[in-house]
Amino acid sequence: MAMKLTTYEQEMLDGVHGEAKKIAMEGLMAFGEAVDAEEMVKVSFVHYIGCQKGLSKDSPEYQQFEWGQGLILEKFWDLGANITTDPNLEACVDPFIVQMDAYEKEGMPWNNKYFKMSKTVYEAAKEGYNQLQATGWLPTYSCTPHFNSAFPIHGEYAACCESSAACYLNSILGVKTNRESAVAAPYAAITGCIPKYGMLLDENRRASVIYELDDDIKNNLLDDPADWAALGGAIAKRANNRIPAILNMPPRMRSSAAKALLACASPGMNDPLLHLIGITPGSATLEDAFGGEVPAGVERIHLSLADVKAMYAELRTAKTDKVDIVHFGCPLLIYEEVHQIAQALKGKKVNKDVMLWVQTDTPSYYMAQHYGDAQIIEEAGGKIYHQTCWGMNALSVDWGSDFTVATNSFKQFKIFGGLGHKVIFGSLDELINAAVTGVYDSTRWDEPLENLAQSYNPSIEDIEEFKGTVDVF
Amino acid sequence: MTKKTVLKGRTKAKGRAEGEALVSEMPLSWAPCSILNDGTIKMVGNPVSGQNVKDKIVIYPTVTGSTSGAFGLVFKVKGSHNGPAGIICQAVHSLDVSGAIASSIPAVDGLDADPIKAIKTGDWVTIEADEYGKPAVVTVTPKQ
Repeated sequence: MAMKLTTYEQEMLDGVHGEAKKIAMEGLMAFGEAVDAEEMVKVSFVHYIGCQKGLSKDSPEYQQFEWGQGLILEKFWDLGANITTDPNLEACVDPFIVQMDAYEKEGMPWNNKYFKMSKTVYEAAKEGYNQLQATGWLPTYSCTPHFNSAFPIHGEYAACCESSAACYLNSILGVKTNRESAVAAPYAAITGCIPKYGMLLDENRRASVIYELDDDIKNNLLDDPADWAALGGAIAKRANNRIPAILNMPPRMRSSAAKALLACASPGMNDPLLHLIGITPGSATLEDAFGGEVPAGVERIHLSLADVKAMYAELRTAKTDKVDIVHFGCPLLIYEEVHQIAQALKGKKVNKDVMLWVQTDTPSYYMAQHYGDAQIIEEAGGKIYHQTCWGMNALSVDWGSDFTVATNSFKQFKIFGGLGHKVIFGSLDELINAAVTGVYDSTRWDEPLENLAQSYNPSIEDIEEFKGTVDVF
Repeated sequence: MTKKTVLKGRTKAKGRAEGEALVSEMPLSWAPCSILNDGTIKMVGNPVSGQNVKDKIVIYPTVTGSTSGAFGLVFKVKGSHNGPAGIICQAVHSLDVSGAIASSIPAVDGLDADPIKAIKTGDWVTIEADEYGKPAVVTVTPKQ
């Protein structure tokens, strides 16, 4: 079916507004046709990814540090095109591979014992950063720009490639976005529109599975993003691409907790929305989340604290407790988290064989510099940086498999866990201790899992009424 | 003579292709962190991890993971030339729809048999997916 276009959209397609908009509209039309969209919507927020510029296509570095994002953009660069001048659209970008002003600094993700970025790659990264800025992109270099840099408003549409941000936009801010295709999002930045499909349609935003959280969860989860990431993992692993409605959420939670919880969307679910009943805009009740009466046969999944705790053990591939890298910042930390880490680290010294990486966004980085948190982290022997994510380098170049990363991120375990290194999931205190001693020691859950299961709630598989077939489709 | 199976499905990205089947029972991601630019699958917990997708017809339930799978697929097909010849899913997610269109490779789903069960790694598969809204034809020749 042909899509219904506005006059301006049709003009873009016809080439009235230049070759770049024409190419981008053609791309969106082909995509829209394939996903059965009937019309376009205007977007207020686009989120894409950083990229290199200038690496020779026949060089080995190009095969390592180009993943396709520049390939999509280069035809627009060749035309000298900027993104749309629509004043109501902010187009921002994910972290890339280096903090621009700290290339030489040692012990950083781009300059360490496993990997050292070449000057050629650094220059290409810098060129890419400059090119994106010059063509109108907001230089956020963050997967959490919605906290400090770009603020879509309730009811608006977005084309957000960053999955954790997409889930936060949908679930907390009430902005409608897909986990947008990283081919379509640049077209959206150039035209200001995207086919109305998937999560942009209300009928696709309804819940299809219910999670009932035990009181023990809200009573025991700490002010530590790790616990919330573990809860998110426990939800995502049972979701099978259904949209959850979550009952019995804590009445209040920090935005860092919500960020960690909702980061489960990328590796665990394809539709980036959790109806947190009582919290998510438009989902005050279960009926709201289901768009009316709750269907009789809908599956109800019961989660106990034991299920959250079990994630700590499950998110582990390391055979020993020796730790080489302690990593905070997936998704990128906001200031309150950096401050929390600095306070936990104060007066301690990082083990000489461990690299402690505190990964944050640009505004939080400069707040941490200004208020002394960065100095505490660096004096202890840790590193704080912005504009990048360590995994961007680890996925580009083989770092070997002979090292272990301790993380508090379910997302990180899932997306980088297959690269070869070993992973341990830990709480804030556990990770700080691992950074200081070089060894992971499990202390978050003093009571064994089995005891919790018996005294509170058996695991879901053991409860007759919660047994049910879980269909993948 | 080996018996061929003909399956009908939906065209999600247009094109024709043929190649050896690589079947993943778990969802896949074309993101550069999950399938490297050289075509090697690197996904934690997935039994096909370590195998290569180059020139294969890759069969998997649906997408998982990063949205960068969209341009990741494009780069592997058109940039590093280590991409698949075509994809068949239980349900092709929009991320892979857009990636396949930009890669000019066919993507098919909604087959009248579950492709994860009906196709085995090593089978020879052809895809004819010419028009949206018209049946796509998938022909499977079992491995000798």
